[in-house]
Amino acid sequence: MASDPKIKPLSKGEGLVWSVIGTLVSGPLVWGLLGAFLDRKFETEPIYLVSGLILGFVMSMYIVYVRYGREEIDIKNGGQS
Amino acid sequence: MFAMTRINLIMLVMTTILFVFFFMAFRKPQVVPTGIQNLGEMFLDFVRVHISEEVLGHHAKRFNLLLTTMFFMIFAFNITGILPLMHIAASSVVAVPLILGVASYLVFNYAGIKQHGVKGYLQMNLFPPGVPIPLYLLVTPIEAVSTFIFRPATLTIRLVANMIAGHMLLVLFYGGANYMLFISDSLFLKPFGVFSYMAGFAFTLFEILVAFLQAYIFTLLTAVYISGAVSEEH
Repeated sequence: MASDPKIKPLSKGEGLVWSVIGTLVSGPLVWGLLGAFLDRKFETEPIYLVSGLILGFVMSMYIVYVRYGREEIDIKNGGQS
Repeated sequence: MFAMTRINLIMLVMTTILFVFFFMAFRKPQVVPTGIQNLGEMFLDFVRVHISEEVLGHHAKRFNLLLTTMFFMIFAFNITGILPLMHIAASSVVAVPLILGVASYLVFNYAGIKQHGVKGYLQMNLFPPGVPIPLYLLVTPIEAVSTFIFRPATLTIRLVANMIAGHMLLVLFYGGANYMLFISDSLFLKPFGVFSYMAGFAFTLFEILVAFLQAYIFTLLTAVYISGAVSEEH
C-alpha cells in the first residue's frame, strides 16, 4: 500500500501541522472571547481578556502535548525524514 | 431569480471538460492502456495511491470516490484562474469552497459517528485521554472549537484566500505592466513595466502550482480528518 515511502511522512506531517495550528489558535480564541465578554460585563478591561488569552494558550499547549507529544516515539520511528 | 454569472459559466464549462475527459478516457477501457486512457489512469492513480491509500489505509476504498471527485473538481475550478478567456478561478467565490468544506465536514463526522457511535465519537474528540478530570472543563471547549468549527472554516478560508490572492497578484502585475508600458508616457517607467510583466508571467506559472497544491491539500486534509474519525486507536 505504501508505494512511495517519501510521501508518507509528508502527508502525515501535513495533517499534524494543521491540527496543531487549529488547537493553538482555538485555545486563546475560546477563553479570550469569554474573557472579553466578562470584561465588558464587569468593566474590568483588560484583566479577564489577558488572563483568558494566557489560560487558553497554556491549555492549547497542554492539549498539543497530550494528543501529539506523547506519541513522539511513534513519530520518530515512522515520520522523521 | 437566477442569472448566469461568469463564475457559473466557468463552472459549467469546467464540469463539462472534466466529464468529457474522463468519459473519453474510460469509454472503451483496455487492459493495456493507451493514449488518453493512460493519462486518465495516471490521474486517478495519483489520488488513490498518494491520498486515499496513503492516509486511509484499508478504509481507502470507501472514500476514494469522494476524494477523487473532490480533487479533480477543486483542481478544475482552480486552474481556470490562469486559463485564457476565463481568467478567474471558479473557487475564488466563497460559496464553492464553503460547500466543499461542508461536504468534508459532514463526511468525516458521519464516518466517525458510524464507526464509534455518537458517544464514542464525541468522547474521542472532546476528551483526550489521560487528562485530570477538572482540567476537562478547560480543555473540552477548546477541543470542540478546534474540531467542529475550525476544521471546515480553515478548509474553506485556505482555498478561497489562496485563489483570491492569486487573482489579485496577476491583476496587479499585468495591470501594472499595461499601465507602465503602454499608457504612461514616462520613459522612466518602461523598465519597471518589463519587470512587472515578467513577474506576472512568473506568477502565472506559480498559480499552476498553487492550483494543484490547494486541490491536493484540501483533499489530503479531508482524508486526514476522515482517518482521524474512523481510527481504532485513542
